[in-house]
Amino acid sequence: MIPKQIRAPILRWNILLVIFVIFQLIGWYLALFKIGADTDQGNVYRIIFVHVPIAWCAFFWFFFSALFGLLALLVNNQSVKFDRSSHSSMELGVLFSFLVLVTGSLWGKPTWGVWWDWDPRLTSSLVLFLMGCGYLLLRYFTPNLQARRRVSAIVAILSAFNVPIVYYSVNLWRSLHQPQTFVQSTPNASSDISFVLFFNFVVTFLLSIAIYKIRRQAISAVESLAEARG
Amino acid sequence: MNSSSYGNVSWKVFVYGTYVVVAIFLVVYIFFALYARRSALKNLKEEGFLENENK
Repeated sequence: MIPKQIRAPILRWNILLVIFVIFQLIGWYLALFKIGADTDQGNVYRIIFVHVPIAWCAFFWFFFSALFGLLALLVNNQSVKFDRSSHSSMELGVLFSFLVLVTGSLWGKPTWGVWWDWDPRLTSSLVLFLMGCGYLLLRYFTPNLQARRRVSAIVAILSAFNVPIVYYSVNLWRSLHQPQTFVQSTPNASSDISFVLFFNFVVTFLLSIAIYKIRRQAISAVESLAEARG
Repeated sequence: MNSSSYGNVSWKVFVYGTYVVVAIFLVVYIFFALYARRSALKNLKEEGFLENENK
């Protein structure tokens, strides 16, 4: 029998995962079937409701990974805990940054006419994804536990420096990609579009937290097993 | 811009395709995480590492 103190959080996050999946499906239903078409892009703009929340989640998880990495370096007696959190966050960062590239490409073809362009936003997003892949490869190929924690934390912190570059790339350089939708002085999205986009962001973020917790529990269990075996 | 089609391809291919791709990747990753957690806990239990915590 698995002890209650291990079983309880597992059950709790399994239930929350199911709830957040239902919320996500509601968000996608609103985005696909309840919101009207855009005046310029028609129906293809509906990709925004999945592309933008996923991009924000990727930024968040790269930042969290760097934050946990920094804590792993600074708080010696808690470094195991923070290193596992940093690892789980980075996996989600890599997953979401990959999905940003895929969904962006699927949006680019009908609107720009190309699947990919070496534009600053796209290129910096690709670099962010590759840095995350580098982090995971480095972890995998560094057998020494102490060295792995230190090197992983440093790479996580360096990766986070790329997040503001990705975010501001559309303002810093001439870009094919549209500028930020919701930070301009005059509103350029209707209130219903803003609401559905914000709703989708919240539910995608909640879902990503549930996935993070489950992955964090898995990494904890795998590493505890490896340590117990010696 | 014609909102109903892009070349010979409907907008539905791009829009629904995007949602389907994202859903597939998320579901696969969730099942991978659930499976990894389950098998590690199972091994911990079978190898007796959870015995002390049950007491």
